[in-house]
Amino acid sequence: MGKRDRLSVIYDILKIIQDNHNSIKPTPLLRKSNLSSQSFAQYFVELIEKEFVKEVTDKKYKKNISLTEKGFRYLERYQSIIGFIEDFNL
Amino acid sequence: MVLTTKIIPHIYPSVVLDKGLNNYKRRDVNMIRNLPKIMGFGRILSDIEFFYSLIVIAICLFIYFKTKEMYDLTGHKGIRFFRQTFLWLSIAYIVRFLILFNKITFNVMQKGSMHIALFLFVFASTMSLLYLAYSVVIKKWNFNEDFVFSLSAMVISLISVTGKNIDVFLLSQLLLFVFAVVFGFAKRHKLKGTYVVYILLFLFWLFGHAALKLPMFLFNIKVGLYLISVALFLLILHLVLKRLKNGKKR
Repeated sequence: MGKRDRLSVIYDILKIIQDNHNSIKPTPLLRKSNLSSQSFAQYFVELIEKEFVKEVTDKKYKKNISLTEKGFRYLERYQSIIGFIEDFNL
Repeated sequence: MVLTTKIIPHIYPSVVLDKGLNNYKRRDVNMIRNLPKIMGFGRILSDIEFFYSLIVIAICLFIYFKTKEMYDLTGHKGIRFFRQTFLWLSIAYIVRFLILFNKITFNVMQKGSMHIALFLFVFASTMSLLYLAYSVVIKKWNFNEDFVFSLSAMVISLISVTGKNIDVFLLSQLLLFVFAVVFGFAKRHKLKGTYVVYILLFLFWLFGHAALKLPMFLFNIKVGLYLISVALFLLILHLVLKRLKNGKKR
């Protein structure tokens, strides 16, 4: 498998969260994303800053990560965006 | 005589360049006889250019705003340059439209405002091609693209306008276009139809410039160029909208 590009990594992370009923703890997310902890931390900061994901504290005071509306829109639009980039050789 | 030497070359300059000034003088009588027809063509051509500019402005701005969400979501450099290409293209056409509007409404344009308009047109057109070239070639060079592109476009515009040399402008546009085509093709082994249409669009944009330089271009050819350009713009718009509507299976 070749090196994943930035857009694809973001898609994979968001997809993992969505597939886990939109709530996942940071450690399983790191494990499932197949990234080094350093890369994961960088992507995670970017996702928080761009408001694709948000941290939610549950009743046991544990942090969970959920998708925002923008995160869902990214997942929805991803295929179109990739197709667009390929079509126009961007 | 004053009427013909002043108006005919303006409306139908190919007469002067094709036949030479001496021959043209000998043909004054025929020219005056054909004046209504010639002026009619000039007027029709102005109207066509007027509507052509309006259509292209609308399409370019539509593409720019339609791809906004895509860029907001990804921050992808290629998409940003694609959008900038159409934004600057629309600005170039707006300036072209204003020049035409001024010419049609007031029949004359002051030298100062003509220079400013020409400067803006060359600047916007060069910016558009710089972004096109960069969008299809490389996104890995790290430099302040906006600053470098603006500076380059400004230098080309200043040389073209102050030196009254449209060749500099045409040559720079042609070089940028060739650069985009050669490197764009080299980057991809398998070419997509959409990319070819995108490149053709700029080829006809260049033909449009060349038509300004070559006054012997016939009325029909000029109109044909505009029609092909509009068709290419519509095709690009259709491809963008189609892609935005239907995602590709992963």
